[in-house]
Amino acid sequence: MGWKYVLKSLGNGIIVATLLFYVFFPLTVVVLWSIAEKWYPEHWWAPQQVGLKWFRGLFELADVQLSFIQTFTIAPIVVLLSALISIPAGYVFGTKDFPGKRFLENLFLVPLVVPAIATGISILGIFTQWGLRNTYLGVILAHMIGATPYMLRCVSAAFESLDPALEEAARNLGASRWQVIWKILVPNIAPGILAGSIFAFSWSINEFVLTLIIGFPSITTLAVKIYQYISGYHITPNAAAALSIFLSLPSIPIALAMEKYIKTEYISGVAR
Amino acid sequence: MFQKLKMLSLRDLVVYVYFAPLFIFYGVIFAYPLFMTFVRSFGLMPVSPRSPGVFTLKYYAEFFKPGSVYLESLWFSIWNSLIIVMATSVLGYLIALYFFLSDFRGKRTIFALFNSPLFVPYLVAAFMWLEILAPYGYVNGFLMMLGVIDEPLRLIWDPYGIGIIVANVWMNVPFVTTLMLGAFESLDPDLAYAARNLGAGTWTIIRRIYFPLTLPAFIAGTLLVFVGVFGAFSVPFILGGSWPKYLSIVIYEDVIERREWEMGYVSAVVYIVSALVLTYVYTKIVRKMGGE
Repeated sequence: MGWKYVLKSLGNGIIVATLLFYVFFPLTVVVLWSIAEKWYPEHWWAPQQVGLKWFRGLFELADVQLSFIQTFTIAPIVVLLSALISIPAGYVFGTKDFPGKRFLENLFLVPLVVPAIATGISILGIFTQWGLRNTYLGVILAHMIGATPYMLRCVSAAFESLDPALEEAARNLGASRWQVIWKILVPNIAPGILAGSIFAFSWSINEFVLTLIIGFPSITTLAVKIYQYISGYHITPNAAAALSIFLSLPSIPIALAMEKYIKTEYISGVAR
Repeated sequence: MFQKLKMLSLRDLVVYVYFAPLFIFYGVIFAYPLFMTFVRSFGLMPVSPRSPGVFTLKYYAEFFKPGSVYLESLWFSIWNSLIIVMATSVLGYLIALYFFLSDFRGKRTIFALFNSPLFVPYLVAAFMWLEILAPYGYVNGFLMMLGVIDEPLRLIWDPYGIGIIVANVWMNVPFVTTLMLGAFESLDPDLAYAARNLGAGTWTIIRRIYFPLTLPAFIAGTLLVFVGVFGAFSVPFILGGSWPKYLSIVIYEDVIERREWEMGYVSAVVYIVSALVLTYVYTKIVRKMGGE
């Protein structure tokens, strides 16, 4: 422990402080905007008056209430449907080896890498012909395109970590087929499905481009509402900030789930 | 060939039944619309009844006509994305190297906190940088207070896409860092020990061991960042200027505002093809990394 150690600690301290400032300063600004009741441009460094006016106001506006209802009815349906179609495939991905497995894994990356606007106008053309434009079903199907690969990934990972010996042991001890499913399979897979549900839910509430293209003007989820407050007809950055904070809340469980279930390439696609 | 076919018994094929729900969903809701985009970019089976619906290359000709707005915006999307990718990958690499080589208390926690931007929705990130870079935002306010500038700088809605660059770098650096830290940690530590025993300094070890061995992961990450920012919509939509624009914004305006479906479809085909090619290269690199 000499001056070298002190210098090193100081260096680490400076670097870490800079990195954390870079990451958290912009987030702080959103919080400031959401609580700023009075903030004039000349007083750029901090709001003159703070309070919870904007949060209270959000729940009083009829159009925002409608957005809340739409957002939180669409998201659970997206979760449910994407889970239903992912579970059989996840079971095979996690427990079996079969020709073309690698190819299929990469194939389900495609919905995440095709630019959202390209997907958007493609389904817009089709959905217009099918009468799905401006409908709940249209928006739900559009959200499922991006939400399902996350669900599939999490469910596959859950099946992968399942120990086949458990099932064997249960069978040897005389468990029936249904007992094996209910007592062994379901409790062991549930955490994976939960993680997938969080991802799919978050995808749905944050999805902006497809919702704007398919759902607008009948379906305006909170993400579209934020856009309207940022640069629509009634610009209100404070309301946008308050809604942003609300929308970012599910990110906390996601951060915790990510470590365990998600490969890096999926991170790059989160809520574009 | 026949050996291989024989191995694919009926039992192997049963697994694909489990994929039926996924295949049906993506076939109908994703693959079919993308295929129709391709067909319609040639003027066939048009959405709008006003179009004649005969095969034509004129929409592609309009896209690739020298000096067209489409080429101009494609070029802008490419160079702007390249700047983002370069800044992101260099910063991300250096920060990953720092986290890998340094050792202090709470390193894991700080690394987790540093990853926060990954969980911020793109729209929200665009909004926060809009407020920070605005004429009376923090950056301009601070610079004017220091007396560096007299007038606020135009950092958003500008012709260089400065706001787009800043916001995208902020969002993507933790992604590259996470990817690279994983790559560094999967290296055999004996390599570095051996080199050190043979008298190599830290800089030599970085240059001769870490850098070459993590290069594939670095290229893979860079590709993925490029695919993401090149086709992104939210950030250029909020922070981009009136001209030049990202191709994604041009598509939106063509289709939603001007009802020029075919031009939108041609641009979408350009986007889809480039995204698929780059992703294919990415999976090849990743497979090679796994094989070694």
